[in-house]
Amino acid sequence: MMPSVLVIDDELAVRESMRQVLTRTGFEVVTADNGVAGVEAYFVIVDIIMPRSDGIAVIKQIRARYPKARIIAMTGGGNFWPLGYKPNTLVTDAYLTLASQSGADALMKKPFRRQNLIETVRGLVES
Amino acid sequence: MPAARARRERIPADSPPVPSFQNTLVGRLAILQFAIHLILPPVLYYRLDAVIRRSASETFTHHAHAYATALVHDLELADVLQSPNRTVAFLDAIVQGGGCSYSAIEYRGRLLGSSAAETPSWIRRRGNDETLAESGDGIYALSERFVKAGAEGAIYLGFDTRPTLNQVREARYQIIVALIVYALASVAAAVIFARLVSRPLTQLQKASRRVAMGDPAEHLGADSTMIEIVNLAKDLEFMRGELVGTSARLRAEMSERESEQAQREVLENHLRHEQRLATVGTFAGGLAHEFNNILLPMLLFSEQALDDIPHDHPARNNVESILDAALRASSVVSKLLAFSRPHEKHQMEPIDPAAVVAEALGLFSALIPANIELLSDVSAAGGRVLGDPTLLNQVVLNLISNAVFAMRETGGTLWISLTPGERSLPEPSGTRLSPIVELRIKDNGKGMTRDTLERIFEPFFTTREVGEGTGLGLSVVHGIVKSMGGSISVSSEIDAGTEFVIVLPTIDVPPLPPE
Repeated sequence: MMPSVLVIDDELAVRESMRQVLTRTGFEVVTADNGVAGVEAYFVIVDIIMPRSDGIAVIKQIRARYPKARIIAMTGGGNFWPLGYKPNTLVTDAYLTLASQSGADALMKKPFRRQNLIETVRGLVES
Repeated sequence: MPAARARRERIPADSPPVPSFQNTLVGRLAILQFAIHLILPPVLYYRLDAVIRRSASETFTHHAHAYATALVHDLELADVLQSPNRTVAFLDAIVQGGGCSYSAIEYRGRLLGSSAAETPSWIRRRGNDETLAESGDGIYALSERFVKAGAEGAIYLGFDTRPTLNQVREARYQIIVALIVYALASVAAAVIFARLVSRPLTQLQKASRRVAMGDPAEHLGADSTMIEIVNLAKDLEFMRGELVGTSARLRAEMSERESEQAQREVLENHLRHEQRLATVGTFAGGLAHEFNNILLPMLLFSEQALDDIPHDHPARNNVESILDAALRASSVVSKLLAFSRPHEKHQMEPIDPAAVVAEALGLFSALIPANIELLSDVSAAGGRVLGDPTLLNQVVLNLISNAVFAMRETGGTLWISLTPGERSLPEPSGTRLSPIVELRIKDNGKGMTRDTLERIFEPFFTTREVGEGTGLGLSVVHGIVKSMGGSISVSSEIDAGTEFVIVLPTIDVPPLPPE
C-alpha cells in the first residue's frame, strides 16, 4: 500500500490538482485548507504563505509532534501582499531557507511541473 | 551678470543732484569766487580812485595856493611896476619857474600884463577853481589878491593840470589791472584748490563704485596729501576690506548651501525613485505569488489532461496550448520575481565582465540586422565583479536588444564599451575611491521622452505594442545590477539616441588561471 500524503494549501485548485497528480501516481492523498485541520499523515506538503495560518508554524508543529514525518515546503514566492510590506520582509528564498531551518526536508517553488512534484515526493518516500 | 545688476539697483537713486557744472565742487567755488569778484573789485576800485583823485587834487591845489601866496608875499610891486618890460619878465619868470601855463597881474583894476598875447576869457569869469579837473580844459585857475601901497591887485595863475591828471589816470589803470589780475588769480586758485580736493574724491568715488559693481579687488586709495582725504580713503579701504571678507564668506556659504541643496535634491530624487521601485517591486512580488498559485494548478491540470486525451483528439492541441501559455506566464512571473527581490542573493561568484560581454556579443552579432553597425571596445584590463554570470548575461542581452529595437526602423550604430575606473564612496572619514568597471551601451535610435525615462525601470512599463514585450526587461536589469551592488543610469534624447551606463564594483581577487 502506497503511503498517504497530506497536502495543505489555502487554494482549492492547488490542492485538487496536486491530489490528482499524486493519486494517479499511486499515493493516497488527504488535503486540508490550513494547518489547523489536524489531519495526521507521514508525508506532508505544506504551503508556507497562507492567509489564515503560518506555514512555518505548521511545519514546526508537525515536526514537534511527529519527529519522523517527512515534510515538503512550497511557496509561490514574493512578499505575501504589498500592504504587509516592510523593508526586511522575508522573500521567497528566505522563506524556503526558514522552512528548511524549521524542519522541512524538501523545498519546491511554485509553479512546478508534474514531473518535478512526483520526483520530489518519490525521493522522500524512498529515502 | 544678474547679481551685479541687483547691486547696482541697490545704490540709492532718490533725488540725485543734477550732474551739472554748478553742482560740482569746482563749479561752486568758481561761482562763489566770481560772485565775490563781481562786487569786491569795483567797490575797491571806486574807493581807491576817489582817494587817489582827492589826494592828487588836494596836493596840487595846496601847492598852487602856497606858490601863489609865496609869490604875493615876495612881490616887489615897485619893481614890477617900474616898466612894462619888468612886468613881462616877472610874469615869464612865474610861468617858467612855477609850473604855470599862464600868468597875469592886475593892479588898481587894470591888467598890467599877461604871459600870453591874449588874455583868456576865463580869468575874471571863473575866479578860483575848487578842484583840479573842474574846468575840463586842463587848466587849474587861481587868483591871489593882494593889497600893496594902499591899493588892491591880483595875480592870476593858470596851472597846467594835465601831467597830474595823467598820473592819476595811470594809477587808475594800474589799479584796474591789479584788481583784474587779483580776481583772475583768485578764481584760478579756487579752481585749482577745488580740483585738488575733488580729484582724489572722484578717484575714491569711482573705486567705490567699482567695488559696489562687484569688483571687490579694487583698492580704495586717494592720490592726495590732504589729511582729511587720506583719512577718508583709509576708512573706506578698511570698510572695503570688511565688505570683501563678508561678501566672500557669504558667497562661499551660499554656494556651499546651493551645492548641498543640489546634492540633497539628487539624493531625494534617487530615494524617491528607489522607493517607488521598491513599492512597485513589492506589489509585483505579491502579484507573482498570486499568479504562481494560479499557474500551478493550470500546469498540473493540463499535464494531467494531456495524459487522458487520446493523441488524435482535437482537444489535445488546445490543452497543449494552455500548457504552453501557462509556461510562458510562469516565465514572466519568474522575471517579475527577479525584480521584486533584488536583495536576494543569487549564486554570487567572481566573474569577468569582459568575458560575459564578449559572450553576449558573440551571441548577438549574428542576430543584429544588417542596417545596424556594432562597435565595441571591451577592455579586459578591468577587475572582476561579484555576481551571477547568467544574470549579468541577461543584463547585457536585455540592453542590447532594447538598443536594436530602438534602431530597427532607422538603422544606426550600437556602441558597447567596458572600461575600468574608480568611483568615490562616502565614508565616515570623507570619501574613498573604489575600483569599478563601467559598461556603456549606446544607440543612436529614436530615444525617449522625459516621462518615459522617469518610469523606464518600473515593471510592466513598456512603450512597445502589445505582444512586443512584457515591460519587465529593464526592471529585471535594474534588480540584477542592484543585487550586484552596482548602479544603472540612463540618458536619452529624442531622435538622438539612448545611453545606459552601468557601474559595477570590482573585487580584489587574483585572475583566474587560464584553462
